[in-house]
Amino acid sequence: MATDSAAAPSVPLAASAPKEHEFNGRVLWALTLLGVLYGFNVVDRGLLSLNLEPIKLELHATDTQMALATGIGFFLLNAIAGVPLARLADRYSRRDIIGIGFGFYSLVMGMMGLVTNFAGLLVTRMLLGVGEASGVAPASAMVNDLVSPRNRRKALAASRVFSAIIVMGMLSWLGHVADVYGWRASFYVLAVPAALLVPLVLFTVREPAREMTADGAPIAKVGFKEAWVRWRRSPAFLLVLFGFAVSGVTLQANGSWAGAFLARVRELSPTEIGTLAGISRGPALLLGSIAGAWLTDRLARNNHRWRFWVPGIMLICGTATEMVYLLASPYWVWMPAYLLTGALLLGSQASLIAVCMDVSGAGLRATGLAFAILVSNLLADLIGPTVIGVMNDTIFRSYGVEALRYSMAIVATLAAIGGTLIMAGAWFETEKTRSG
Amino acid sequence: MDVARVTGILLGIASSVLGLYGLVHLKPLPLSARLGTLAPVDRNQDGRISATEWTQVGRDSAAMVALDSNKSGFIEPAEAKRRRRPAGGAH
Repeated sequence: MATDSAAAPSVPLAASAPKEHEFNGRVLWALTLLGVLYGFNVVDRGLLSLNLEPIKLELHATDTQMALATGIGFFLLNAIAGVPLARLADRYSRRDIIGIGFGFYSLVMGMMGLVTNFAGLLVTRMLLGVGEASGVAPASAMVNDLVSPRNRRKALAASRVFSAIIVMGMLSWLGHVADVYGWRASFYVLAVPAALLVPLVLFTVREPAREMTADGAPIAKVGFKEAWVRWRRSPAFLLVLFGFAVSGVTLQANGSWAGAFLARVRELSPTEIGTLAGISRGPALLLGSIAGAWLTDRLARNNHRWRFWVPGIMLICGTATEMVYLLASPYWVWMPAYLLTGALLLGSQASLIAVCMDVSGAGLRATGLAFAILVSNLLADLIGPTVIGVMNDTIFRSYGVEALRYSMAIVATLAAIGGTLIMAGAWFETEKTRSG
Repeated sequence: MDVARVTGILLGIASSVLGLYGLVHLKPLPLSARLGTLAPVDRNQDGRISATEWTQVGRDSAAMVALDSNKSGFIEPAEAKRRRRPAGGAH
């Protein structure tokens, strides 16, 4: 098959990786900065969730409008801009794209503090989506080339650890800032570090060499049409792609509404929510990512299918704990379940991203991930939060503040479906798409 | 210095200036804002609700006694936040 012959085997790629691709000070510094920038993205998402109620009240918005701002408003342009930006990242410096994108993203973040009506919120959220699109795929592509395939999960997990530190440090503090100075202050605060972080990325991070073939030749560039022909013939890629996207519905939708859930149903203040989100999301990302990456690498030594099974099992177990967190009333029951949900669902992401790149095939790993993120954004991020808002305002309207419990519980089941699809992908993987 | 770096730095500076400008012009929220949805009841905006303020808006005084868990004679922010929390529930 022509498409098979074009895909270089991945094992020689790993063997041919130059020594400088292993962890060293330069690589760790790059991973740190990329993790910090990703952390700011996570903080931003948590911050909107944290401020959902006061923004809604001040702008006189409905649940559906707020769902549009957190869902479609952010992810429509995020999804549309993601692919051309990823293509740019394949041709030009990924570091420069990440730096410029973060500067733009931070500027829009500051503008969010100025909005006075729903239209302004929607426009800034859309622009924020463009800014974030310039970071995720190019950064993952950089990590892909910073280390050899066998270290990819560890590198992704390390990057997540740095982002978790940012989340831990920032979210609880920003919750307190919002409590004392109002929601606008928390957005202004996030706009300030760009003058320091952008030059750090542009002047201290070196653009890594791109992936090479076994004999040291550059990987031939593959058009998107040809890539799709390869992917649609790969059940492993398709199962992982849809599993990634379906599980993303739960992550994005319930993540966006977590702050509102804690405020309405659990009746916590912004400070309490910020502290709780910082305590859970930060360490959960840290412990979940490290444990997931370590466990995957260790188990995959004996059976490569564990690269699919570990994130799949984490998603299925995370669904069960999320049900408990949403539906249980006693504090001592829902609180541990909330923490465990963060560890399992958020912690699975590093292994999920790695398996996405694995099944994309040699020379297509970054593009494959960008495409998976695109599908995930379209399906999960575009629909997810909006569906919850609509369910709150329609079928569960009579439940009042309790409506969120049931809307979020319905959406939570999608993580288990996604995990099952990813686990099924293991049975269809071939040597040609395996790496690491 | 190339165009990409100049663009990135200019965007970073503009962002920081905007953020600092916004922060400089902010004032702390009134204390009553910490009462959440009960903020409008706090007429004198001292950050707590007296029995007079509570009954002035037509609310049941027995409900205030139930909310005033520390028996201070006022509903304070922490008590206001707990007002709909089920028995044995969060915190």
